[in-house]
Amino acid sequence: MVFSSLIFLYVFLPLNLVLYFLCRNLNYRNIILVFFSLAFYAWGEPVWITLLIFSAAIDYVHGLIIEKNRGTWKAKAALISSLVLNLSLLGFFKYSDFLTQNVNILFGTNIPPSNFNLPIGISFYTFQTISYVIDVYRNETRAQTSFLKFMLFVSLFHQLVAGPIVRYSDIAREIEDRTVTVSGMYSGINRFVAGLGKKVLLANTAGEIAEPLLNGELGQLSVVGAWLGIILYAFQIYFDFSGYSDMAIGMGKMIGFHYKENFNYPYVSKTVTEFWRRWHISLGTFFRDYVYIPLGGNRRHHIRNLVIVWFLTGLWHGASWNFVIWGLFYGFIIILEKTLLSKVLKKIPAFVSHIYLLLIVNVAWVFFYFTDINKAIGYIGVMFGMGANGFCSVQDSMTLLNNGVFLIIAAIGCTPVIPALNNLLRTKTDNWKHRELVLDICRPAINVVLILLCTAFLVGRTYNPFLYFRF
Amino acid sequence: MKSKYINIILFFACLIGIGLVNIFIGDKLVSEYENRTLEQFPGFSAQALFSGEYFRKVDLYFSDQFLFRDSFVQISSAVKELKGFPGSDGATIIVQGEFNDAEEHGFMPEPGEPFEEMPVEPYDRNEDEITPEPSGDPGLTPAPETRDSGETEITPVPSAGPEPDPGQEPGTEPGADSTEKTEPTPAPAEKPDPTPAPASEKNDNGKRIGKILIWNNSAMQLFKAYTDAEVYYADTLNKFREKAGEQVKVYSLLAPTSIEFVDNEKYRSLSDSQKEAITRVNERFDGVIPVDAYSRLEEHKDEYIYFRTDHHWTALGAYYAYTAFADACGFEAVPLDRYETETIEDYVGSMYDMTSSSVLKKNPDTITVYKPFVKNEYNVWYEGPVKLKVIDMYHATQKNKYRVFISGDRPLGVIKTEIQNGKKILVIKDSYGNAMVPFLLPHYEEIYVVDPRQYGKNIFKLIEDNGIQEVLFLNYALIVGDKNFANLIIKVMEQ
Repeated sequence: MVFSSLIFLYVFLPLNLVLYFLCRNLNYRNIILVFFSLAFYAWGEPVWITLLIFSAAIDYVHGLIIEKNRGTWKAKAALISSLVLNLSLLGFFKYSDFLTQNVNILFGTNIPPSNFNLPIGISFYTFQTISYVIDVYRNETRAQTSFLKFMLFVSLFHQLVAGPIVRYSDIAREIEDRTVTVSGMYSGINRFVAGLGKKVLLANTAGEIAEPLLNGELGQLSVVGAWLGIILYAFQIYFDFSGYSDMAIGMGKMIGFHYKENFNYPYVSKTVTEFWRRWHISLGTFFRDYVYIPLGGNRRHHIRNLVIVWFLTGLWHGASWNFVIWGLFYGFIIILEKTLLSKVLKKIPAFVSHIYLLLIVNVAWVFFYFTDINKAIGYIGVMFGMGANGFCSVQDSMTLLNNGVFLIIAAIGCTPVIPALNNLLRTKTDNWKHRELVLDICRPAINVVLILLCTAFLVGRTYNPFLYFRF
Repeated sequence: MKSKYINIILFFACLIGIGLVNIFIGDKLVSEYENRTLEQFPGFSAQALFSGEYFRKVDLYFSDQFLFRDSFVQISSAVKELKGFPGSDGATIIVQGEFNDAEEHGFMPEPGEPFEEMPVEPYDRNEDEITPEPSGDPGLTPAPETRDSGETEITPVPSAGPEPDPGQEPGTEPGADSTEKTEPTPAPAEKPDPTPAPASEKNDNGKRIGKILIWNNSAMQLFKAYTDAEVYYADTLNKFREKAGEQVKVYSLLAPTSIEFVDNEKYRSLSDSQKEAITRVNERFDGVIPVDAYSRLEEHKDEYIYFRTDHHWTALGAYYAYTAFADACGFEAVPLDRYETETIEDYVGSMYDMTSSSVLKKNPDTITVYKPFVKNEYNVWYEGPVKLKVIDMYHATQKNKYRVFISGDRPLGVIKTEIQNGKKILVIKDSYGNAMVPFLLPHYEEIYVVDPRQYGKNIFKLIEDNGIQEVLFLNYALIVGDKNFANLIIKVMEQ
């Protein structure tokens, strides 16, 4: 199931919340959450739900073994065994076809592909369980003794299929004990609706406009059209992904879970290093804490460590070389920034570094979008005038004009302008008598309008792709 | 603090309220607004469950049956129209990508789809001519439902008189008994008129992208030339002529569409030249006689020869094409003023359905029909003959008013006229043909009309059995933009 579907919005979520609030006992509440999470997962993956439970069971047992044998070789053996099992499952289900393909090309063999469908969310939940086992091994958290509670951590539908990658230690306390508060509900609802709007109104629309530009005939595309296509894709992927994270964070707040932020207006960054501190934060910190720093961080083999981390970051996004190139491209730029460019970037005016960042990010998205590397290179060529159908074709100028208002709204949505306006409004109205009341009436009104508008958009389309199923 | 409850209460009221109403409202079979079948609650099977198909269908069901679905759809398209700057001349390009449900809902049947699976009953669920029933006896099962009782011969016997074969259920006049009609069984509901898919280009991902230009209150499909498909179409017709034998004359009329004559060079350039495509096809013909409808239409391009809200030509446009055909055959075209006319107002056609453009809705078309003066009998053949009218005014009150012309797309229609000249023609056509066929009446004793999207029999057998001497392929030029239509012709050749 996906959050941006009518059945989730009008059947699954209200039913889940109502049952949750009707129960006062935390244990029952946990049972409800796990049950709904499994139903949520089964909706899209009726078969691979067994894999999810199996994977959770493995890590649950390993966590207990490590806890019991802390400090002995057995703990280490259990950690290694858990890592091997987790990565094998991920490797088998996500990367085996990619591997056999490459082996076939390299050695001229003819190993048939397994043709498994990638189980939804496997990259997310595998990383969550890996982080759990490592944290238990490092004694940063206690092992969970209740399988139900452990399942709750692994399978909670808020973040099961599209992140954020929640660390067990971050919510360990809330798994044991959490409270529903009015202000938590209030801000959770606001957050959820904002995320829904980002996904349905902005991401889906951007995708619809981008599709013919990205998928059309390359020879027909003008320079403006190529940039327009990739910028729309940049909008789509940001609003899609961050919208999902917002919805997850919002739903967590409603029932007393506090997940960490996953996005922090990445497109306003000035450097690529900064961009990656603001983009998919939970993934960045995962690789930092479990790969980069254990490898030696910036003290030993700095460059090597960066290359490994960015290779893996790319590969995590999909079992295809274009994702690896995408990751290594970022790795390369970050190494440049840390060495040659560091002084330059400090000196140049802010707007130049903004342009620099956006240029890099948009070129990188081309590699993210096209699995066919030749096509990606051709597309980048058109962006810079090579093989382009002029600077701006009639059709592309019409597309630009026909979507001008949307582009402006989307661009504003990528910046912290709206929260800034919101704060300004609050400080300006500080001494109003009925300020809180007025604000608390406006907000629900905005939410209801947004929900109805999203409903209209969801009803009005058959096109509702969920990009993150590939991960 | 207390006021924070407003937000929480409203949020839940909204989700729970709409959710509950959705669960309790009854299901609909058809969306009039979208002109398609709505998904029904899926039947359960273990296989569907494990493949994920079951839940996917429940999802589809829920959104298809959603409360105020039509209003929500309209709201979303109205809001989407705000996403651009109002251009100086209001021109817009609307893209029909993979997200248009044309293919899913059967706009273009896949080549090779067996006839048995083609929707026969659904075409006119709300119209009664297909489910012939003696008006006094509404309980009888209509003919199309009895199809599993054995294959009935579709090819009409040439000598069949004006009376329908007594073994067949007699056809009734459309709409004649519509008030007392009760639906015998909930048929799988109406399918849209199989309109040709929009001009499409197959990109590397195999997705079809069709584009529609809206300018000057008029929607026009853009054409994307694809020379492989042109060659394929011409070769298919060449093969057809060869197989049909020397005694059968084969004509091809490819009708250009409205974008070809748009009065603006900038917008004209958005679409590939249909003139060149038609010429390329014609040059490849070997023995097939091309009919130059293009120049005739071009001469009259400033007249009302194309609908603005629909992808078809008007009857006037079809008339000019008919004069070109008359020239090619060497008979004299009947002057237009020989016909009595009737007009149908407020036609909002297929292009509105595809684009939801408010401009089109606000500027509906007018259909002018030219009433045949030649006495005739028109039978459409499904399992048996169903008697219809060549100009079927029943459809003037329906949504798809273009169906007034020969009552829409049918697998096989047979018109017998009072003209006793022994001439027999077979028209193999898409929906463009519908508007032109009525003009052929004064020149032929028998006119056979086949829509290869629906016809499931061998076409040469039809020609042989009925002694047909002429075959006219009558289609709009966009069918040479891909191989689908040619594949359908191959299908009826090889059946």
